Amino acid sequence: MNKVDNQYNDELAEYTDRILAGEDMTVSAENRELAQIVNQIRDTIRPDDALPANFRDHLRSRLVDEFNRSTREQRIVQLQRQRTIRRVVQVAAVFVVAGALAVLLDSSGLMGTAGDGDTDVTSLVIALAVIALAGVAFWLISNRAN
Amino acid sequence: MSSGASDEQLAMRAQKGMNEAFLELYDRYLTKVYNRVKSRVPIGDAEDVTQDVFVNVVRSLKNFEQRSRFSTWLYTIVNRTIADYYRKHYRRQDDQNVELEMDTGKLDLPSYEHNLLEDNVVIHRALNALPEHYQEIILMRFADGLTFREIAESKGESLEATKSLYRRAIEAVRKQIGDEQSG
Repeated sequence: MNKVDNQYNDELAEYTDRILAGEDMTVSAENRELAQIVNQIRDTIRPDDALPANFRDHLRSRLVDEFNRSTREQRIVQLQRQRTIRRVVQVAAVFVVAGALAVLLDSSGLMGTAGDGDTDVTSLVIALAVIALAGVAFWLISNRAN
Repeated sequence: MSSGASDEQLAMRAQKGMNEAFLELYDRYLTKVYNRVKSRVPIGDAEDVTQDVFVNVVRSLKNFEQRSRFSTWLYTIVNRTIADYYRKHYRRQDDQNVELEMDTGKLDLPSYEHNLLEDNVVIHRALNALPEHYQEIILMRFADGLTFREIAESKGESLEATKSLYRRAIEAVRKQIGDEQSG
């Protein structure tokens, strides 16, 4: 970019500033056509025109309604998601407890395949621990979902 | 009353359901959005399109991620809403040549107002046809009311480069108008 280009860039920028401030300015021949375009853009956008009366207030109250509805809908979606998670956890907990009970019954000989004494006690403790953990996890997740 | 919070902080509060935060963003941006819309759609439709922009903002607010600036995200919604407006408009007009519902010959207006409306249509078309970086710098100066220095800071460029880009953007508008008139 040479010095002359910079000069024209500065001039057009200054012209724009002046026009937007309601002042006038003469520009060089190189910028004359561009200055007309700047005028046309200013006349089209009219940045200083006040917003139409009542528009701001009308839109504001419409948006408050829209915002409240949107927030309500989001809460409903969130609740539904939490309910789904809770159901999944409930089903998982049932499976875990059923599995643990099966191990428990098996190790206590009620299912007809009794093992040796040490294994029985270990299995029993593990099964009870799993049931307890599943219960705690279910309680925690249910509470959080509520 | 302004809270002094940044746009992004207000957006985060609005995402949590605080409508005061959203309304503060609305107050900050209404005039800018309206000016941007006015520069690209006929004045008679500017209010409806501005309303659509803000309704879209409310509905999409949950998708705003703090990775980008709020203004960048908002102006993307402005552009998308204006594109939707023209899509619907073209559909309504079927295969007719779209005159942006501003066929000034049908309006009972003094001739200087006819000329003004014609100029507006020409500028709307030219601005809509510009590459985005040219549109953006013109809108930042005229619609948002930012100074060239503020534009340079916001874009992270030198003042010299910003003024150069601005002049090229105005030249592009002139070329666009010339092409349309000769075509």
